Amino acid sequence: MTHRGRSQSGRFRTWAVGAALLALTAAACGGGGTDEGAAGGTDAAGTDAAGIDAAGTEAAGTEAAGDVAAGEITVWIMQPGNEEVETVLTDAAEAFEAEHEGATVALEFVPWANAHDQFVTAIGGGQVPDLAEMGNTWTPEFAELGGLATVDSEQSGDYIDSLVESGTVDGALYGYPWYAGARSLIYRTDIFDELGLEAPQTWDDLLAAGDTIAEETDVAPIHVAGDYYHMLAPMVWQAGGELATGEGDSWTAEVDSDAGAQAFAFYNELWERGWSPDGAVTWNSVDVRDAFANGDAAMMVGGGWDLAAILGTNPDLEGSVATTLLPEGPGGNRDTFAGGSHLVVFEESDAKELAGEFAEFLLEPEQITAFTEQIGFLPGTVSGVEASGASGDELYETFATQLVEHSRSYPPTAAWGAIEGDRVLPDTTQLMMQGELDPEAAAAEVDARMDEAFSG
Amino acid sequence: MTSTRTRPLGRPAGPTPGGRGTGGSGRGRRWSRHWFDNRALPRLLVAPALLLIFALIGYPVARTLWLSFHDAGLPALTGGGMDFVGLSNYTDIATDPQMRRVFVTTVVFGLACVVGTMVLGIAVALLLNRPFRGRALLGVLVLLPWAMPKVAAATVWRWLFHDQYGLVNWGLVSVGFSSFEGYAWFVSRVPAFTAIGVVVVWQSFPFVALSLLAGLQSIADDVVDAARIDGAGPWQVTRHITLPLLKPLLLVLVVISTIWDFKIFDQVYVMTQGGPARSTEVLSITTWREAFTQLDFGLASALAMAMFAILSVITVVYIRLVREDQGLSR
Amino acid sequence: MTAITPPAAPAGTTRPARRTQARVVTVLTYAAALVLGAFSVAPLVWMVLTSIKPRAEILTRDPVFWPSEPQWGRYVDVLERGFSGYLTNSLTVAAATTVLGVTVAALAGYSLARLQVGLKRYLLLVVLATQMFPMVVLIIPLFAVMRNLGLLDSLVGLVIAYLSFTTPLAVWILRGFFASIPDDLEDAALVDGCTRFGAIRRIVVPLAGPGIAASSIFVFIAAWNEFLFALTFVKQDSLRTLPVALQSLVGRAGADNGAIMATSVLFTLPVVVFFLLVHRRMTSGMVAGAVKG
Repeated sequence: MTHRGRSQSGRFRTWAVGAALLALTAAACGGGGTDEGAAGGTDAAGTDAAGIDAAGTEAAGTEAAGDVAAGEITVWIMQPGNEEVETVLTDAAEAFEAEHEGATVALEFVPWANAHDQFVTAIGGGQVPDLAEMGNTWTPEFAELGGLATVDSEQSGDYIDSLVESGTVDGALYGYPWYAGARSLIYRTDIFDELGLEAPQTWDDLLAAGDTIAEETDVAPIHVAGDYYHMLAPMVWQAGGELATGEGDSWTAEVDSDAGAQAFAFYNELWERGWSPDGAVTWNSVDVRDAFANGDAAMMVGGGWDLAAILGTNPDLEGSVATTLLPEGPGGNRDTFAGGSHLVVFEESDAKELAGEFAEFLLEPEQITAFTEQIGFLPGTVSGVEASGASGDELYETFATQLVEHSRSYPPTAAWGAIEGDRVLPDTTQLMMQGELDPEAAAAEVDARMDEAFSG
Repeated sequence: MTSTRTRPLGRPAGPTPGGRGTGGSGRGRRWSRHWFDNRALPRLLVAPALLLIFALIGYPVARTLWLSFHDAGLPALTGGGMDFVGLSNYTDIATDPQMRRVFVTTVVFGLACVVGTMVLGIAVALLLNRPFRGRALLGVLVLLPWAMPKVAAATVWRWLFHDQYGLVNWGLVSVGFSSFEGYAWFVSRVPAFTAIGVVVVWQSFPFVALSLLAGLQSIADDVVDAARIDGAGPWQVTRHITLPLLKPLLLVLVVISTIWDFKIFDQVYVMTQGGPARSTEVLSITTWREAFTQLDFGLASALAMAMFAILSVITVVYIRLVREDQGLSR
Repeated sequence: MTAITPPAAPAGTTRPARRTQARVVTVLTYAAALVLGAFSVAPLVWMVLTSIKPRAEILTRDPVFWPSEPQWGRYVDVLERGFSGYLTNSLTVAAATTVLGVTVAALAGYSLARLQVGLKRYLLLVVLATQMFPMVVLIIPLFAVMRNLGLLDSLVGLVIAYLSFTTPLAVWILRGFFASIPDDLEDAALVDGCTRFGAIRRIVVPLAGPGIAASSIFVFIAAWNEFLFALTFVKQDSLRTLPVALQSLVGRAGADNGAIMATSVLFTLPVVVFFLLVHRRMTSGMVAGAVKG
């Protein structure tokens, strides 16, 4: 990473910028926007970035009031994995300290793989950080446990909808939306051009293109993996269905439906074509990406961070990869999961105000863009997206469009953390790939286990 | 085992080291030294260790036992309420087929790893106890698996066993086993546990080998020489002289290996995460999953108590098996 | 160990037969040594090679054994990232744990092997029993204990935590070694007028040298490689130990594998040095023939 960090960050800068334009257009088209984002039903995610007009002006001028500022806060940030990102964050902390006399920010980095356990340990052991970055699928879980303070910000109109949705429990928002990203289809232009193929726009296109590639080349058209449910779960949406519906304490799984069965059947179809090796049953997204980076696959579902890693690993692919929105399913949509992070203030913190101020500071356009440019995600605020400038990078623009126009959040329920932790989707996918469950039964199994989690 | 507790102070009794007062002058001094040697010293020597161990671990262990009888979520840990549920966590475990499978898996796989580790460890120690050129070098080389950082070891082993880009498959294919082309190690249980077992043994045999080598070095040469002169071959020396002398140490090593191998977490988590579809799940993974992802600390504590019970039984069995010789009863 | 060569051919075996047998044994010895050495170091060799490979050559269908352009610069990068600070922390913690842990465990191990301690058998089992719980259930209450004792975010706290988890096994290991030292030597010293401490210092400690060396290595490695406590109890960057620092190369979008391997190589080197020191002491024959006199 150290060798290539610079050129990559340049990349991010330009594509994040592309996203800005899109967000602006989207916001312009979207108009009004709903007052609360908790309803998981509609698939309008992102299109109505609420209250763009108000946000644009307010976000720039955060009040420099420093009365509550004195004191020390401990801030947990997910381990960025490279020094450039760490530097951006430590610089931000220093800038904040300079602005707020008497305030001290202690940044502590926590590895992703251990973060959930560390949060549980901190809460259970009675010593929590004041502010923390939290994966957006975990926020409802810890909010429901009473661990998090609600967000009451004047800037909340500026927040990107899908992140508001994923941080809202019972109508209250528990996380400052920091950043988000979405997966699209990454494909090899050299192979597609040679075979005269177009980038697939529907599930059927994908299968047809895959058949041609399988016939004409030694390269696998696309790999599916047993442990990559961010590829599989959104297919339920693409097929026109829902993962779950409800709000508050009462949620119902909706995977045992026509759309659910169609999604699992399509994933199984990709698997049964024999394009993926036997070992793919236990592969995860990193294995899929490694295979693509090695030139062994013509397409993959991945995010901007994946593409950056691929080109970093195998610079030879530069110029022969392109991106396109995820193919549309029978439900007529291309939605995917908007993954990202919130900044959350802990209820037990004795410096909640200062922690909240630092969160707001990190969400200021200047800070947020400096950070997201480094990590390959988009800012969680409209003003942030806006501030990232204007230009287009074809390669990365797709991810921005995907996020802003075609992304949603997983059901924002406390139970989702348990569903993820219990590996409901990977388990079932693997059983299906091993032939133990047919797609319909797999969908029913997921449904049943989700309901079990919802019922506590 | 004779107890000193009831013996009158100051009177030499039996073959215990207590009877020696020859160096002292005067009855009172002898008595006090005697008291010191027999009553105070042993406890003084043990006290720091006990203090260190129980000061930190005592409460967590007691807490685990307590929680195992309760329905305890995360709030319970911070002083919130929890309901006493009697044995229901335990009955939940006993009636869940997946849990039962996990117990069988853990015991079978754990014992297999112990056997593998011990056999390899003993073999290596015996080998290193022989004179040959390069012995010192090998002595350090075999310790290296132990020194390798776990993150690096896990990553490298994952690569080595990767179905597409792994060196293991590449090597097997290169020497003619063409069926290993793209062989998926982690898709079914037996090969997955084989791969994990290799990693476990690789990481734990150095400890056994090193300890046994140290034990072998402590055996006085003349015992071995005498046996040789009497016509014993190397195998007989090993079988009848060396190993019996090392029995107390072997017992310790078997017990420790068992504790480690039954508690295996990292290697499984890194290589398979317990998958596919929970087929390679072992007890510590299940316990972690219940505690940290389902936040069911009552059930997790009950699982921990079950692990404790199994390990206790096995340890006691081991000790019984070797007690006649020396074991714990000396 | 000078007395390993057999002094004379046992009666009843002819010379040539013995010679052939010896040759076979020699060949087998070297073959076993070779296989064993390869098995032990293969992953380490791979780690070293990977540490200098360009990213494109790290995971490939046909293995790259020697990188096209060795990336020595990685080591410079790693050192510039504050490696030495983490190294100092790790060394401090591991050294303190080893010295204190082995001392405490040796005292207890000796006492339990040699002296009459009430309820000895149960004491040993109880000590061992603390090791029979999966760490995942202990970690949260342990965190609370550490917090109440004010031991969080401190290297001293980390040393104490490591001591409490390495001492039980170290006691067992050392007890095993003490138990296998013949009583008569020590008894003789006591008869000669040594105090108990004198006997321990002059007779037992030297004899238990290999055992102490082995348990030192055990404790050192346990403290050196420990990750979960170091991560959970110490969050300040300046107090991090190497295993946690290594994890900082793993980010949201994947890991910097080259840097991980380079750091790991540097991380392994001090242990190798430690091994060389201790191992030489262990096999130097300082106990050879101890019972002869």
